[in-house]
Amino acid sequence: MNKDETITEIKKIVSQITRINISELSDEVRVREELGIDSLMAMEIVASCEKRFSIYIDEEQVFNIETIGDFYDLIVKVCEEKT
Amino acid sequence: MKILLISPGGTFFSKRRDFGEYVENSREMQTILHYWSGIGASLPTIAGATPGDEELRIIDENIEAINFNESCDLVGITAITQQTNRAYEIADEFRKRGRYVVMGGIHATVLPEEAMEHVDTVFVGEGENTWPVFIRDFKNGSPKTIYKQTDFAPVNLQKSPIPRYDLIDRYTYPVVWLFASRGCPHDCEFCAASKIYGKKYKHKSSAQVIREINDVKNRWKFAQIGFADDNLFLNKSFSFELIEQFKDMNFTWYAQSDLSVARNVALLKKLRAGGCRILFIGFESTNPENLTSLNVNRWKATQYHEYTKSINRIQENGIGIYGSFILGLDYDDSTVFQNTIKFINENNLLGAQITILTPLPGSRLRMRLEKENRIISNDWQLYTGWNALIRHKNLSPEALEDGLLEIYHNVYNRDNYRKRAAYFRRICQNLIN
Repeated sequence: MNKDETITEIKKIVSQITRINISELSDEVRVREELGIDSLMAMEIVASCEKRFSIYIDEEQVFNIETIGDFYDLIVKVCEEKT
Repeated sequence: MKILLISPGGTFFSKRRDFGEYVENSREMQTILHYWSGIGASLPTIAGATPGDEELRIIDENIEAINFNESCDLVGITAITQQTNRAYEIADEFRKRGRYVVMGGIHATVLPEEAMEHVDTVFVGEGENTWPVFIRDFKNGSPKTIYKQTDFAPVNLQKSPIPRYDLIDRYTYPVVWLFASRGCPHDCEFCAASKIYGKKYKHKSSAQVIREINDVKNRWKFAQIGFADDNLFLNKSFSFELIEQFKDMNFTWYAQSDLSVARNVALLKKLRAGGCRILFIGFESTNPENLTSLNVNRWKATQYHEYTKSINRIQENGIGIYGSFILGLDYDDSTVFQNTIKFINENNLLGAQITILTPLPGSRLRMRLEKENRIISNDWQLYTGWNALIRHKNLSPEALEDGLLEIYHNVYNRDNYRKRAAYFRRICQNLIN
């Protein structure tokens, strides 16, 4: 899976969990202030990404995320490190 | 005729410098602000109840400054107690400019004589019946100084107007509040809500609620729905009927509840499938002695022994709990701070809202504490829940305020965040497998 395909898959997961249209999930959207992602929703996204990509994500890394683009970058990086 | 409807700016937290610095720098406190931002549904509802085709504008002063020279024929203000000082300032400014000013909301309902010193007309109780009559009287040049809901037939929520969310959709609220029902039978000593809404439960039709949700979804692309009902699940058959329709609507929402939802696993699964992500639940105290005197029917006390089991059952179904706790109840002593921290952390609550016992006007608590000469201040801007306003037999005002901040610092520190995140990760893993 290349980077674009990975990001498309992440967007599907985030959209499914936040119930926000996938077209609205642009990189600069702030995860807490705009999407209203709390720690439960964040962990639901994390658990779903872990299952989808067979990876492990440290909670601490999620804590530092500000935008949805940061989250895409994190997952892509973890996926790349796995391979 | 042009009508301005105003929600005055408010102080959400204490003005103490260390509190302010904490709130500003705490990501979790910013999240709490996120949930509680946005005005309630009262002004959009009153706008919807306005007869005729009057020009209406709603101003949320927490977001937009008021232009006191804006031309208008009538100014309507609503306020809860902590907004009241500012509400009176706003009223005074408009009246200086010759505007007719009216006020409603919970504070004006419980202290109408005080409000009358600043406004021309006061509304006591719900406004759906009284407001249209006032508008007619005002246009006829004969407005009364007070309109009481008790002089009218009970408000029928099934005939409640569609709230005018179009008048506030220029504001980018993260949470938009609406309500499906009113009334709470628990009659907690500290709560004044029953003074305006009564203890008798009533609700809109599910079709009304669905229509309002769709309107909100069409106007705000990111906003989540917050149900302002004191308890969305008092009538379980109505809740079932309503939430059944949410599952295909693709939105997330929050609501206030009591712990009784935990007894019904089918309901919890429906809530989760219907987009419920957080329930705000009042635990009030970790000391059972405090709970015995909170409600006339001792309802909270009867739930105490099931707190942990109920929390687990709700959160294991993928619904986070924001628990609310009160410091300064009669049986509290210096152990209350550590006990509250321990309870929140050991139960892995998604979040917590801790306040100091506040003698809100209209509450039974205020009447009792007045008799006991225990109220320190009637400066309404301090009625935030973060200021100590009572004399307590075991705890000084400073101890209560310092303890409040200590709890927030502890519950929301990085270690406890990690612990909670790990707990919710396990739950989510179970739910998706």
